[in-house]
Amino acid sequence: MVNDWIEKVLRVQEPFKRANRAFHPDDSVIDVAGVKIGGKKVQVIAGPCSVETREQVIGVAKSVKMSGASLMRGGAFKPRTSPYSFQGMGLPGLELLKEAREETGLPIVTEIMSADVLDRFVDDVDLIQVGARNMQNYSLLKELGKTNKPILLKRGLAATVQEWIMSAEYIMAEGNTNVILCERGIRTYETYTRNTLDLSAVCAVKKLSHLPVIVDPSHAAGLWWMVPALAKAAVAVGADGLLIEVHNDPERALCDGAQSLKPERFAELMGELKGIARIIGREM
Amino acid sequence: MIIVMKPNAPVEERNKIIAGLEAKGFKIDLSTGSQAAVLGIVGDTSILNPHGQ
Repeated sequence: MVNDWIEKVLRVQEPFKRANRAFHPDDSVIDVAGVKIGGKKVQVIAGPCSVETREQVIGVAKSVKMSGASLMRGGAFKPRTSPYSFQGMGLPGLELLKEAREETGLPIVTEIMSADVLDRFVDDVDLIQVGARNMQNYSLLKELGKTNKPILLKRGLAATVQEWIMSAEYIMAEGNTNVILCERGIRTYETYTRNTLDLSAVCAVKKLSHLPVIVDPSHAAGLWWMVPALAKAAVAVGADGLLIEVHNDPERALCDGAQSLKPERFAELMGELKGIARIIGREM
Repeated sequence: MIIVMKPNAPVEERNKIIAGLEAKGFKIDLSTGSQAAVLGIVGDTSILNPHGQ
């Protein structure tokens, strides 16, 4: 389409098909080990940023379950900005997550960094997360598309809504339609918060696509005291779920302690969220 | 997808673009105005890249 005699080329339709609401008017509901994401119920994924010890993971899992979380998160492989930061426990961390699942019955969500551990993830993980930094790792997306596992696709830190949905399209084009999108803040000029939470993206995705979209206020703000307010706002704009970092001892967390809620504050927040959900006709 | 040709684009150049798209299986809806021609491309244009090949 590059030709000196062309003034401009205009797209009438979006370049994505499988993720497009025009071809699939009803909301997609993704089943994650029995937990339905994208339906009437707003689902909450909670847990520590990274898996550190057995006591920590199992303790937090039990606590967030009591508070009403329906899935548990925990990073075993961590994509850190610095190579000298804690990189995660790796596969032993995955074993601890499995123990936490056995103890609590909560399905587990954890991030995949490379396709070389894909078989283990397919066997052991209920919802495979693709982090913001890998949103455009197309070879990884294609491999995930060949599985039938639910995928949580985080928005890249400088990705447009269309680029983000096109990444979902990569997974879906290979045959896996179980994709959940996650807004986690984008990079702007503002430095007060870690990123800027783009809640308008939730509305945009809902209009353009039938895929469920959830919000991660913890990574978006990077400040624990903002998380409750942003979580309530996310439910109010129509997010299908939340991903919230909860740590039993944030001051000593090996990763992102500043954005983690203590279990008591998380429990309080869950009660507040129920109120918002009721107002907009959803359940929690 | 819609292609707007430059006002001074020769007819031969426009026809080359149309032939190229028809070879890919698209139908072309041509509209010629007094200033410029507009090509309406009918078909699954998701395979086309507006910014390159």
